[in-house]
Amino acid sequence: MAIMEDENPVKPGSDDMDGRFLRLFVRHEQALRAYARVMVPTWDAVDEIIQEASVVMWRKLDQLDAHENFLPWAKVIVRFEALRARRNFARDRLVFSEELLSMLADEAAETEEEQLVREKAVLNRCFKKLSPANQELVLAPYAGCGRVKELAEQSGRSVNSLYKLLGRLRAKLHTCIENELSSAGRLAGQPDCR
Amino acid sequence: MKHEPDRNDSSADSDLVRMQRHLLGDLEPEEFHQLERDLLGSPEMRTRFLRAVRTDVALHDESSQIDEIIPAVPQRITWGRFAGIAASIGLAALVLWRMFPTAPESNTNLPQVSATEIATLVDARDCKWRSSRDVLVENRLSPGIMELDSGVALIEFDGGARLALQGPARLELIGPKTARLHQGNATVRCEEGLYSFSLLTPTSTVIDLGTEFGVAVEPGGASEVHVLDGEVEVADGSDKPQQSTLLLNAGETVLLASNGENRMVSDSTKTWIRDYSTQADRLAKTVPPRVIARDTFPVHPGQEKRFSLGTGWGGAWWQATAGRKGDFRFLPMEPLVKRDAKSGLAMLVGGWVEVRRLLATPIDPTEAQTIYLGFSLYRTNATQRDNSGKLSEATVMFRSSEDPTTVLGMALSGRNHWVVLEQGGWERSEMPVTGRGPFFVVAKIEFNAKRGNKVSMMGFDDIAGIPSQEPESWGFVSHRQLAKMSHPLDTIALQVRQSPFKFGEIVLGNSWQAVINPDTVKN
Repeated sequence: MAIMEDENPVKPGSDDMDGRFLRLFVRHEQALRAYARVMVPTWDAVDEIIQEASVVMWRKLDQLDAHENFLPWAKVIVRFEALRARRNFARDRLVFSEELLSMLADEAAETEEEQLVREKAVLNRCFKKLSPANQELVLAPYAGCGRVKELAEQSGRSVNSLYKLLGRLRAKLHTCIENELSSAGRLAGQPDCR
Repeated sequence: MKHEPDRNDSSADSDLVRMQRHLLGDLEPEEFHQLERDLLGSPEMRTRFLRAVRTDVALHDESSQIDEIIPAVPQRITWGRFAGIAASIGLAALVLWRMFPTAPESNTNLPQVSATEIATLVDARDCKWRSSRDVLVENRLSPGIMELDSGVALIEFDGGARLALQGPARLELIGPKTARLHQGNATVRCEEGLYSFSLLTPTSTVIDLGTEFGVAVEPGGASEVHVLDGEVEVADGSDKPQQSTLLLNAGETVLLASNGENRMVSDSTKTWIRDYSTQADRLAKTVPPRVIARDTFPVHPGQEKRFSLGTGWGGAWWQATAGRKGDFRFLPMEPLVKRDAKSGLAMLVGGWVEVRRLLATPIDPTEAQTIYLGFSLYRTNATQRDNSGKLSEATVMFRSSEDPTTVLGMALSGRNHWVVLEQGGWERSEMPVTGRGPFFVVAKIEFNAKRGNKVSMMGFDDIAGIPSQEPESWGFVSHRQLAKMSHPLDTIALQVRQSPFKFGEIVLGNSWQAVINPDTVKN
């Protein structure tokens, strides 16, 4: 187990500490962003939360006892920042209650990083099954809200109807992922037929 | 047009769509609060929601590479793109093709298909056309107006949909997946699934979601949309900034006034044409079923020595190494040739085995005809497919001994996807075959040199589940196969990778009946 070097503590701002923090943060950033996304309503909000949380992590890194514990420790900080920000979002957006967010945060905290990697690989395959037009549509919301509008104008459809289609396409991707994962899981449990 | 929530999805699908729309910020307040209540009350739903979030995260990551992954072209795969794709999914048959010395980098063997042709008139019943020049069955159609005074015209779009136009009617062909009905009645059937065909009316766009629907447009522009099967989306076709959509389920009818207002009615008063058969289809039903070729067949996957293929096509063509249970591997009765620069493909040592036999009567691919193919197969080591999905395919191929690049193949991939292979490209089913994996597969190959060949496939877990009549919809229908085949198809080849699949019976026939019940028909 790689224990932090308590006997030679490093302080925030030192090269050693910055390097250590960056390595840990970059390694787990994906999982932290995924965790934050559970609790906040938009990707812009995720960016804000992660930025705020990363500052807190950097300041408090000397409280971390072991590298292995970075992710659960960092998730606690992200959760705190997300719940704090919820009050701001709740003024002008539909956001889940604190009760539900706490439940989701508890359950999401158990998600393994390997699971994210595995599901992403499966998503990749499922995504490639979509037609090029639908691939473009599925990714459009991440290119800014103007992109969906552009696609709507190009296709002669309403933005509203494209969002409906988007919902269904994403549900389809979700089902595809579930099917592939359950199929892999089922097969892994089967005896060799030879 | 009033906004309607997705009330027609099945419950689980509807939950998924709701979750995804929430992540897109697209839920109405009422829907949002319902979702919140549902999530609070159901751990299973929360688990699914967390996966939905992870999908969102992965898509978000994917979007950072958007410029690289959005293909600039089209769905047909050419050799230039093909190497990478083949490597990524491990379709070894294609890898083998790539090894051909004549690998057509420039696609020179593909026919010059006119870019303006988007559909084919596949049937005409007592048709009187407005123009003096008759439109003949099998004519390829380009974008433009078709005016039918009377009769029924059946148009097959290259995108896969069949449209029955009932005269008097005025239809504008726009693209392989789009048409505009200016006046008259039309029904559309499409098995390709989501968003595969759009029929425009003067006031709306009716979008197929894997379904059959009818549309009638009155001279004044008012129209009726009636769903015969599945689901359609009716999008407001006006220029209003706030357009809306309506989802209709089977049996539902909506009347659309010329001013865009709509009204649901209890039933349709129109007569909808639901016969999408062609003359060839009808003729096929009158021709007695005939078995063209057949090999022995294990009637049950648990049958002892099930992989001993015995004799067929006038002699033994391969046999399994029977006797030692657990090691039934195909051995050809004739020596297989190692692939080298000079000889044709026979076997790729170390990965694939292909065995072939000549057909007594070659199939002429230039002649319009439908051939049915039935084959049984058995996945001998199912666990091999779960790691990468790259390990196994079982393929039945038509080949020509005159030209090694002439290929039309039907495969089941290691991940249980249907695959149709041809020279220069392939198509794979969007979703894997459901069930535990087919034991018996039926393929319908519609040869048509003008339109391109079309392959439909479906599979059955057990023999008892095979319907006695040809079903209306298939598990997978390929788009047109455009590789031109002019050489006679005189060879049937079976290809397996490693040993995960074993083939059983192979039957070729002229009908469903001949293939699924060959004992009852003439050989």
